[in-house]
This record gives sequence, structure tokens and C-alpha cells, in this order.
Amino acid sequence: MTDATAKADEPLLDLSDVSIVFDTADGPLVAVDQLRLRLARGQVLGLVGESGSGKSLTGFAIMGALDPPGRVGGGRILFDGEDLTTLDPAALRRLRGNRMAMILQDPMLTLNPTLTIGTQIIEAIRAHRPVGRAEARRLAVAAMRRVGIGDAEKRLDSYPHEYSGGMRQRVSIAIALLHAPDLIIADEPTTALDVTVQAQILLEVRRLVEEMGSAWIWISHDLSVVAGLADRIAVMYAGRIVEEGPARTVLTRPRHPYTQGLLRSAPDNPPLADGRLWQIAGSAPAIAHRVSGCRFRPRCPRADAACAEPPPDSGTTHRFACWHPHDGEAVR
Amino acid sequence: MRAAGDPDRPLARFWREFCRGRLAVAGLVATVLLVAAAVLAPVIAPQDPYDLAEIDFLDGELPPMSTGGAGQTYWLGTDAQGRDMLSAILYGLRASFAVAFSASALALAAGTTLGLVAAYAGGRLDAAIMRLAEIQMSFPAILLALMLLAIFGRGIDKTIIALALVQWAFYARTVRGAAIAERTKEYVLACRLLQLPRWRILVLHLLPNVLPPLLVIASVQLASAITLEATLSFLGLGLPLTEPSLGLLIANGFDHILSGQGWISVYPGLALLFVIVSVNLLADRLREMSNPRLKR
Amino acid sequence: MLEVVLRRLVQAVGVVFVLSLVSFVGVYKIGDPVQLLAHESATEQEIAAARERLGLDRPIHEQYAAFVGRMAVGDFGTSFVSSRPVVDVIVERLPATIELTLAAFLISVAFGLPLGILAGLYPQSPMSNAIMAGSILGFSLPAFWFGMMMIMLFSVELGWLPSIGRGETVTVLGAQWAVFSRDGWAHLLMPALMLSLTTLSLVIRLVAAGMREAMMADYVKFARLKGLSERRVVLLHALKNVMIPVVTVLGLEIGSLLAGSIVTETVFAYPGIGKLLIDSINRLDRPVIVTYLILIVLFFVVINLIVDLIYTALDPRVRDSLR
Repeated sequence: MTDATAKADEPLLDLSDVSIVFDTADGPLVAVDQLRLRLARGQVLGLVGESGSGKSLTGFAIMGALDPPGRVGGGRILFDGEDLTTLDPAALRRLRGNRMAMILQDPMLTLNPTLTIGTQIIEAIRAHRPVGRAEARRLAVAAMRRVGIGDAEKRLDSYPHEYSGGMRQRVSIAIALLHAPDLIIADEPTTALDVTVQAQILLEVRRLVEEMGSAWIWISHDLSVVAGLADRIAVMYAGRIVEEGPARTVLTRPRHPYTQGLLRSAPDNPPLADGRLWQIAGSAPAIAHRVSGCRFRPRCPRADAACAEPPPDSGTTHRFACWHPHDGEAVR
Repeated sequence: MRAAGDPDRPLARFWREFCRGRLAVAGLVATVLLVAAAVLAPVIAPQDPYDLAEIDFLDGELPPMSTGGAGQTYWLGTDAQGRDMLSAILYGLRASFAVAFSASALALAAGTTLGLVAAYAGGRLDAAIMRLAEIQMSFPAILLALMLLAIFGRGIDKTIIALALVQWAFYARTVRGAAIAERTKEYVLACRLLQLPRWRILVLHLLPNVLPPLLVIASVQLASAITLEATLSFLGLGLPLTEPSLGLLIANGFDHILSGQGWISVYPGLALLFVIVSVNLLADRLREMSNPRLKR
Repeated sequence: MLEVVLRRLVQAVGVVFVLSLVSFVGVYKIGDPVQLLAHESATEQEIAAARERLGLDRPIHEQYAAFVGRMAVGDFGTSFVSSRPVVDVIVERLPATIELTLAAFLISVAFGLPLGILAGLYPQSPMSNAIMAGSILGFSLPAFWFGMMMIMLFSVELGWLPSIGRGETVTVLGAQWAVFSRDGWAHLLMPALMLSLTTLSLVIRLVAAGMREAMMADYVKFARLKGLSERRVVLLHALKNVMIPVVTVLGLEIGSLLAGSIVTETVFAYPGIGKLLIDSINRLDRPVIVTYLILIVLFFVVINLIVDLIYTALDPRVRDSLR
């Protein structure tokens, strides 16, 4: 993998102070805030957090595809130096699927059940490249071959329900890769698949990542999935990034108690004395029930009175937002 | 989802949820007022429109706000016989509600029973009941009701039966579906292990669980029964002339429209519209609340 | 596939048979048409003769057998009232009802689809609220009263449109059609609007609800993420999924429109088969009633069958499950 920090003079993606807001009848709800994130070209970022932490929303916000009533409430999203939040819809549409692409979680729901696979690939080709039907079809076959679908010529005229889950996810990946985008956001693309298929797809993706040189944001709730892929890892909790840094450092010397907790609760840890696995107390709060200051403090073993104030962002290449961080010794 | 330690009872929660739809609350208030007006018609109506002693034939076809021979004001005018339209509408409301409520209650009882029987018996009886329901539901209600009344003849009781016959299937299908779905749930298994008789499981444990969808159907069907009865009466197939509902009042006014006495059918029509809109607003909210996909 | 069609056909024949029997027995149990038709002065003998001539003196099962036998060769009997073959009476009034039903259907689709799409795309907007309120009103308005109010406004007060009948007709292919004359259109407009009221509201609500749901679906999100134009996302990706159930309902609505035409034709004294039915019920013209009922049952069964087949053809998932 590339040494990202060396050539990151101008990042591909630069999010500063981004917030995501939902307009509801009871006023705006802030789902994500104070989001700072940088991604260099060709770099792979693992974005990790529990469901509801705002990691998928962050993905959709970058793509400019938040569903109303959700919207970007503030901040800048610089993509290749251009602020996406000020771009008009047509310009944004020209970027989507072309220079940046996204793969969704559940392949059973991602493809339109009433259109053939061919139609759905070809329309994505023709949306960004002025080619004829025959040429588009040839490109579609090539795209399917690239993700390991045999007999592509014939399978082009099938409908999604004739494909297995793994095959469908291959198709979505093929669609995302069509125009060799600079940025690919993968929103837990293996979570909904069978374990054996997961491994295949992961392997496939790892190959493609190296082959294409695109930058990736790999969203997952599972640190171990991201561990083998990512150059850097960002951990989100309740709408904020609590720790971000080089993958190895975050995985081996986490500073934030939440990251520490995630690592300790992974199933490959040795069980506790009573035979159970260690786990973080409590559960992630709903948006309306988030506390002030450090949002993790109700569940944090290290929390004290200081944590009622918003924690400072410490560190440079390895950032963490905590009043009482771990001292950075190796956890395993 | 229920937060731990939530002291709310389901009914209170239901009520709070319901009140979030402001239009629906208006619909509920209007429905309650209308039902009250119908029940209290003999008390609050200015006259008994079907007591010939109270009607002055000389006051016929007076426009709204006219003063009658005896000095009384006809707020909504009079019909050709000199009947006060406001009183006729209140009594008409009474007839319309009486028929619609009876028919809906009958359909609810019959449909629920047949649905439970189908779920309980299974096999051929189940197939027969459901096939019948399917055939019934493949025809528009107005057509079936019209056929039935063409055969039965006019009358309050016959109209109620005809309406119940075109509405039972909705309940039967829902109850059967819910009962079969519930049958596999744990509490039913537990009842079975306790060796409670099957009918007791069905009636005491299944029924409370199918009540919410039944409530939705009943509210929708009530509005539809009111419209159906009005339409059938308008066609001359529903209620007899001696017990005019809103539909019949509108039909009576039909001849007068061409001669410019529109009020005779305008006001009963507005009353009918008001009733149906109120009940529909209510029904709409109930349906919305029972559809988890629309809850966000 | 063929097996499904065959099974449905057998079921359909069964339904037609049972319902024809029910309607025959039912209709033949009501009233005595001879009493109603005979002059005040008719003697016992004259009535008995009329009864025998009409075949009413025989037991009901014989009457039914004779009826089915005649029906099998296309003879639906003779109208008691007009003494003409029932088939002639119905066929002559069929074009009026076909025009009316078709016009109402087209109005429902032409206005219902775009309004429903708009309401579904912008569910929070005032325009959407107005459309949805309108559709609730459309559902709630008793159609016959709506028709009467139109007559009051456009015929009596404003004098713009005729309130009664079908107007001038033109003979095409041996039948009388009103849509070829301006006068015919003027006569058709209000009845068609009245008849379309419920179906239009239903289409709006179905399309709006379907659209709302489809716009939240992952496949629509993904289509947008591919960089497709919003137009293609809505009109192809979302709408195609919305239309599968809508087309099914639309097919069934043709039947509802036909039933609704009974009321519409009564309000506007429009000479179609719906008005014929009500007139026949009032005059106990049994052969006409029974024939109408059997024809309409037949029509419904055929419509249901066709709708099923269309649904199967539209949805690739259903299509394959039958292969």
C-alpha cells in the first residue's frame, strides 16, 4: 500500500467542520457535527462506528445524496479542491458515479428489481460517457468480467432476482468502478452477505483497490474488517469522530476509551475469567438522547466531572477527542 | 420501541400518537358532534319533520332563512311539503348513522367470527370461506349491494343486511390472516402447553391482538357504508320513503334542482359530505398509525 | 404458466355459473311482473295467459334450465317491458356506457398519474398537501351528489352544459356513438367527471404512496449515486416499480367504473346499460336484469383474469416464479 502521508500535499477529500442536520417537526436534529476528515489520493480510510453513529450519513453527505429531510448543515466538503456543498445539482450529478462512487450495504435492495442488470450497468456508463448502445454493452461486459462474473454476455439480460447476493454485490461494485473514480465509498458492502461470500468479495476488493489506485472510504461497524484494508482509520461515536490516525497505530495503541472498548470487545480476544466476552456497558444513544460534553461519558469507565465539557482534539496525525486518554501503550 | 421504565399504558400512548395528526383530531371531534346531533335529533330539531301536525304545507319550498307562517325561522329552507330542512337533515343523519353503524357492527361480528372459524377449522371450510370472501371482494360493493337489494326489496333491515353482506369479507380476511400469523407465536404455544381449549386461545388471546387492524377496517368501512347507503337510497333501492336518510333527502331535492330550488339537495349533501370527510380523516389517521413503513 | 391460466379459467367458469344461478333464482323470487305490467282491467284469464306466454307458470328449475339452454345459443329472452330481444336492448345501449366508462378511465389516468407523482415526490410541500386533501375530498364526496351539484352549477346556473341524455350520435360500424359530435362531447363531460371522481382519487393516492416509498428505496438511492439524471431516476427507476401494483388496480377499476356508471347514468339520465338496469329493476323486467347481471359477472371474471396476466407479465419476479 502507498505511503499516504508522504504525498499528501493536497488531499483528495477534505472535510472541515461538517454537520448533518435533519429538519423535523420539532426543529432541526443534528446527527453529525464537527466532522474533520482528510483523505489523500489512493488512500484507504476505514470509517468505523456502531449503527447510528452517522458513518453512512457521512458517506451520503460526501456524495451529495442525503435524503430529505436530511441536509448538510454547515462546513466545507472539498473534493479535489472544489467545495461540493456549493456545487449546483447538475455539476454534482456529473461527479457522482463518475469521479466518486458509492456501494451500498444490502445488494438485495440496491439493484432495481424491474430492470435488467444490463440496463442498469449501461445507463451508468452512458450517464458519463457519450458512447453508443453497442459500445456501452461491450464496456458493461468488460466491467462484469473485471469483478469476476463469468458468462457476462449472457447474464447481462438477467434480472437481479436471478442473481445471488454475492453476484449482485459484484454487480454494484462493477458499477461503482465503471469510470475509475478517484473516490469510492463502500458502505458495509459485505455485511449483508454470507460469511464465505464476504471473504471472496473482500479479497476481490483488495485486489481492485491495489489495481485501480482509487481512494476508498470503507464504512464498517467492525474494526477487524477494516484492519486489513485501511491505511488510516477513523472511529465515530454518536455523530462525532472520536479518534483518527494511521491504521496500525489506532489498532494497536488506541488512545480513546471507546476505540479501546471496541478492540477489547472483538470476539478474537481471550474471554474473561467467567467465560464471557468483554463488552462496553450500555448502548449507543439515539440522536435525541445524546449528552453534552463527551458523548461517550455515560458508558465510559474513565469518565469524571471534566467530561461534561467538550473534550479537546489532541494530536496531529493521530487525533483523539478525550479528557482522559489512554497513554498509548500497546493493547496486544 | 419502548424505553426501559416507560410508565405509559398502551391506550395513553395510542391516544398521544393519534393526537399528532391535527386533522384527525378535528375529524374525531366532528364525528362525535355529528353522532351526538343524530342521537339527540328529536330533542334539538326545531320540528319533527315526519309529524304531519307540525308541518305547514303552505310553507313549502321556502328558501333558507325564511320565516314561516307561524313566525318560525327555517334556517335551511323547506322542501316541497313544507318540512324544515334542518330538522329533516338531523333526522336524516340519524337514519344514515343508524344504518351505517348497524351494518358495520354486523359485518364486524360476522366477518370476525367467520375469519376465526376459518383459521380455527382450516382445511375445506377455511378454503370455502376464503374463496367466498375472495369472490365477494372481486366485485365492487355498490354492484353487489344493488343486486342484493334488487332481490330483497327496500327496507332498513334489508339495507343493513345487504351492506353487511358486502363488507364482512374485509374483516374475515384480516382476522384469519392475523390469527394464522399469531398462531405460531410463543404465547399461543404457551397456552397450548397449558392445555387451554383452542377456542379460548382464539377468543381471549388472539382477538385482542387483531383489534388494531380491525379498528382501521371498521373506520374505513363505516365511511363506505354511509356512502353506499346514501347512494342506494338515491337510486330508490335503500331506505323506504318513510324513513329518509340523507341520501333520500338529496334524491328528493333532485327534481327541484332544475327549477332553481337547489337548497333542498345542497344542504343534505353538504351534511353527508361533512360526515364522510370526518370519518375518513379519522380512518386515515388510524391507517397511517398502523402502517409501520410510514412511521418515521 | 399455461396451467395457471387454465386453473383460473375453470375457476372463472365456476364463478359465472354459481352467480348466474344465484341471480336467476334471486331475481325470479321478487315480485310478479305480470301484475305490474297488466292493465288495471286485465282479467284473471288474461293474466294467466300472459304468465304462460312468458313461461312464468312453470317451476323455477325448469325455468332456469330453459334459460341456460337458450342462453347457450345466444338467446337471452325477451324483455317483458319492450317485448324486444334482451340482447338487442342491451347492445343498443352498450356504446353509451363504453364511451362513458372509457372517458372516465382516461381522465383518471391522465390526471391521476402526474398528480400522484408530484404529491409523492414532494410529500412535505403545500402543493402535495393540496393534492392529497383533494383526493381525500374526492373519496369522500358522494359521487351522485357531486353530479347533481355539477348540474346545478353548469347547467342550471351557468347554462354551459346539457344536463340530460347523450346528445347527437353518429352511426359508426352499426352502433351509435356520441364522441364523434361536439354535442356528444358536451353531454359526456359532466358524467365522465362524476364517474372518474373515485378512481382519480384512488390513482392519486396509490401513485403518491408508492412514489413516496420508492423514493426512499435503496435502488433509487443507488440510481442517483450512479449520476443518472433526476428525470431518469424518477420516471424510470421509481415509476416502474410504482406502476406494477397501480396497473393491477387500474385494471380492476374498470370494473368499478362500470358499476359506478349505474349511478352516473341515473343522475344524468344517460341512456346506457346502467340506467337500463335501474329502469328494469323498477319495472321488474327480469330477463333484462338477469342478462345484465350475468354479462357483468362475465365481464368481471374476464377483467380479473386479464389483470392477473398483465401483473404476471410486468413483474419479472412473478413471471419467473411461474415458469
